[in-house]
Amino acid sequence: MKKFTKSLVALMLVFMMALGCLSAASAEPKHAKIGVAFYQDTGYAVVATKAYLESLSDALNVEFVYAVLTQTDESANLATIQNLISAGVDGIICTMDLGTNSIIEECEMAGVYLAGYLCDYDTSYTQNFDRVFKSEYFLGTATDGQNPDDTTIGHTMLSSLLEYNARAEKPLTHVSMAIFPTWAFPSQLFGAQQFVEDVEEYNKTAENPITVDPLDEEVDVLMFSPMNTTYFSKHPGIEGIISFAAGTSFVYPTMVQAGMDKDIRLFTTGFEGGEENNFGTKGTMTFQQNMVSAVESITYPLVLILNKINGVDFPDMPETAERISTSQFCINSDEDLDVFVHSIYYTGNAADAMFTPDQVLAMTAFGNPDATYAGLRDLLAHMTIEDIAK
Amino acid sequence: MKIIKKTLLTLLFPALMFLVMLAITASSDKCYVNGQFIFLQPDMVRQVLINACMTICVALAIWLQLKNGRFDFSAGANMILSAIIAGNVGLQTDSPILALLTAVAVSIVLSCFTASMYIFGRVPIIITTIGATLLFESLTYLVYGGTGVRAFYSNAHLAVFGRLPGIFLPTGIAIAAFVIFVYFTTQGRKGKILSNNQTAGVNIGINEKSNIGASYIFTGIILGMAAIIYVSQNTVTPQSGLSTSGIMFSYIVPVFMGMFIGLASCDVVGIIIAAIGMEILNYGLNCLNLGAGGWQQIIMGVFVLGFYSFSGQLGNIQAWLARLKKNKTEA
Amino acid sequence: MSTKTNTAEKQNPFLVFLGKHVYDIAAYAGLAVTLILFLIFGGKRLSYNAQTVLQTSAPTIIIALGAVFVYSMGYMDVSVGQQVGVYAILMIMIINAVGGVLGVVLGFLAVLALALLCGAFNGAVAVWLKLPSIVTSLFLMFFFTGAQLLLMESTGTNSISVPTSLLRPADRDTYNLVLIIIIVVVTLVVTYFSRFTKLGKYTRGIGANETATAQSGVNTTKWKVIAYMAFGVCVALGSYVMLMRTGSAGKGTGTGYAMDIMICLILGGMPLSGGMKSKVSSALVGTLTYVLLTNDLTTMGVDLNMINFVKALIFIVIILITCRKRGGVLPR
Repeated sequence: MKKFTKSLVALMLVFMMALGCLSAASAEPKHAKIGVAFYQDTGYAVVATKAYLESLSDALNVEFVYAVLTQTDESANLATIQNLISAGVDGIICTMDLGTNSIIEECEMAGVYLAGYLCDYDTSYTQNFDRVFKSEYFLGTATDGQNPDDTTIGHTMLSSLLEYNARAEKPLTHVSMAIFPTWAFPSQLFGAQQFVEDVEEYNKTAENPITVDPLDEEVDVLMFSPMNTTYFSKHPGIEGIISFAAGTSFVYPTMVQAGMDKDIRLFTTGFEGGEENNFGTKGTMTFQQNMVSAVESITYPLVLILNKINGVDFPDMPETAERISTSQFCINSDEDLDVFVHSIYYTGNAADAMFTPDQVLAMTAFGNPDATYAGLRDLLAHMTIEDIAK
Repeated sequence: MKIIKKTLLTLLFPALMFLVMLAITASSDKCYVNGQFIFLQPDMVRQVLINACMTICVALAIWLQLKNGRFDFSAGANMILSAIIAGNVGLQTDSPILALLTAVAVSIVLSCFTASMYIFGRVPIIITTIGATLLFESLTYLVYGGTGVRAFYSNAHLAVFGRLPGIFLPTGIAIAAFVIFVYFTTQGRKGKILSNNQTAGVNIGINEKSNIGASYIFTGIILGMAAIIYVSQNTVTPQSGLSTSGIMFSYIVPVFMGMFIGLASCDVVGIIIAAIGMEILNYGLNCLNLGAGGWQQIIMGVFVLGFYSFSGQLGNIQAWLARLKKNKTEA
Repeated sequence: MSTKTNTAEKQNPFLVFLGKHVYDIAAYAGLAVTLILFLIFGGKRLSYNAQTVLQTSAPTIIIALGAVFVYSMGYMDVSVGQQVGVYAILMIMIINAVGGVLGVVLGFLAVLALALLCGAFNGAVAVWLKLPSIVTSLFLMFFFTGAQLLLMESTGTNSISVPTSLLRPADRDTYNLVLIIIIVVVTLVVTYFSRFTKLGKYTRGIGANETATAQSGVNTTKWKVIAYMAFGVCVALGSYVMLMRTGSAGKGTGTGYAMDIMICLILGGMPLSGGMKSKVSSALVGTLTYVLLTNDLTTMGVDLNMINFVKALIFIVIILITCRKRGGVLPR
């Protein structure tokens, strides 16, 4: 039922976009230069995002300049943003909430719009909301998955685990978890708590109850470095790891090094390449679930910035900038993986993107008078793995 | 008798390290899970051996140049670039042997490039190797589309040189290359003379350039072995901003400790023993949940300073002990 | 000897000057090229770009100026990046705890005292314990890395901050003027101490030949300590200037400063072995070249993956011209 509703919403939006395409055919967008500051310089997400953006270049009359932020140094990030402004950008899509106060000040001074991608801007949201989210030049952000106040990843993880147990000869009955520190990703702690609560609820009626090792702050919270090999000594007897800490490289290499990759199943966020060899029924069968954010969610900040540059806003544009949860592809089986490998995330080929340049143009206020903010937000929140197959 | 004494002295460091960590972990609640003591597990031997092999290879490569009076900053970048190319060749050909050979070949070529830049550029070695590091790091973004190599380590067939017992092959070759060059080649002995007195060495007719060339070829072989182990254990991503020097620095402590421990035997044994001792320390810290984070860094710093201070004062301690012995005899 | 002099006298004076100053000319030429590119590609935002370069380079210039004393002796300090990070965090914590201008003053003084202590430690402990200076600096690097992590873990956040209005003038032009004044004053002070006092003379002497300097009656330990402490003052000041930019600090603040400073000094023509050819201008020329180069490559739209390659090639070309040693054995 849920899937049907999602499909219906998506169909309606695509129909509206198609109408928009027709009406927007004559509109010529202003030339814009957008800076895109990534949180890392390589990897599937970066390659795919660049390919997607470049494919939109002609239709939206936009040129992109790329830069890389650090994950830890505010001053270096400010310098990167300043260099982008120096390069003459009209707007910046930023993937990191670090040094945002000074960055927004810089953008305000230079008249450059700022919006986020793959980042919940939680520090700014909770500590500097007025300064950042109420700034005229901050337009909003598309979170990497769910916002901390909108977390559903715990439910998704249990659903994936039960889906695996249903098809597996030997269901998993003992799992542990891994998360990043709360100060960086509060949604992961919420997700882990949600997962534990769901399991407790499930166990009330389950034939094979599942034991979840409680989160050990010193062992299970990964400080952005790979999991320690003693993790397995500290979680004896586990059959699966539920990793909310994005990036398989934080968990999987340690499993391999400790010789645990054949015995323990991994449910994790973040696809980094190579997982497909040991996914589902392949290879060591280590990976049984993988969650990936759709690169197409960059459409949100892009459209908002381009609207501002073109001087046209959505009629329902909120007064204060928002952070929106975005869709994550949940790869649960061999079949899902077969679909996923045809996505732009995996192929890096813009032809595999879920939106064509004309469809993106139709999402903008200047390209389609009927386009709305709510439409854009809903569309990006309802992209599923089934949409790739389409 | 002398051999037994030397062996005991050499083994003293890892033995002490083991006993100290055993005592500390045994007294900590964190090292007991379900009533079981996790420090003394078969996993310890396995982790110590695997990690020590990697450390030995990098430490030997650093030491081979350092003992010839040159601090090669580019060793880390050389290893990473070789690992990326070798890993991708391995993935394309599905052959770990070809990956190993590629790692060695690329590493030798890169080492020879560094040596040539030094010889013909006549720029001080630290500056030359910083330049080489920046260049090699930048190439990690240009080869294979800047994607590095990710899937190599997860393939058991390909990653054979990163796991037990396959890891002993590259480690053994690295040790053999070091020993052959330093102890069994004329260039190795000439290198010793040059490091003691460079000008005098050149004046007595040693060809410094060919000596540097030869030493870099052997360094290339050793770094190639380090590269194949590294790519067999890790995702290797492109690097920038001299970050590879950080990777190299993480293996440097056993080099300095090995110099000291090696006084009782020889440098190569010292480095092997130091690497094992350090990995026992690391495993113990991991059991105590201090393997990463602030306290691990501080403990490591105190350890480096303490170890150096002790070795720096060793002469004085020996002299004091000798005086004490003499006074007792006279009394 | 006389033949050589005669030959030199017969040569074109311009060529003689060129031969004598080839390294300086190459360093300045590097700066000139990056400056020309900056002017060409700066385009409509030239004034903004100039402010960016000033603000980005100010902390590095100040720390690099202090580093001249240490590098003159042929030493280096690999802990400077982590020191900057810890100092920035400490200043924020003190300012937040005390509040107001008093907090700023107390924060800076506390950091200055700590920087002086570290300088003394680097200089004195290495001598007392007969250690290479790199070891004490390595210890401080480990120590400050750990301290930075622990301090940030104690805050439970990714980043801590103070309002920048407490640290610097709100008006941009006044802020830029303050930066220029700080740079000029520090440059003049460092130049004075380097060229006209015993500090500069003896540190260069230690770099050229420590044994000879010691045998000529100089207390090398004392001057090493003073040189490191002078560096400490500049690190503390540089940390404050860096904090003025963002008003915030975190786990990675300061990362890479040690290497950046080394690269800047090399680009400015500073011999890493120290000695008589060490000069204060290296810090200014090198840092400006490095910061301008980064700015140029972005404004020119050079591909992200190519930027490091271009930087590396430029670095290699410059060092091959400026650091090349003629004759004798190969330099180490």
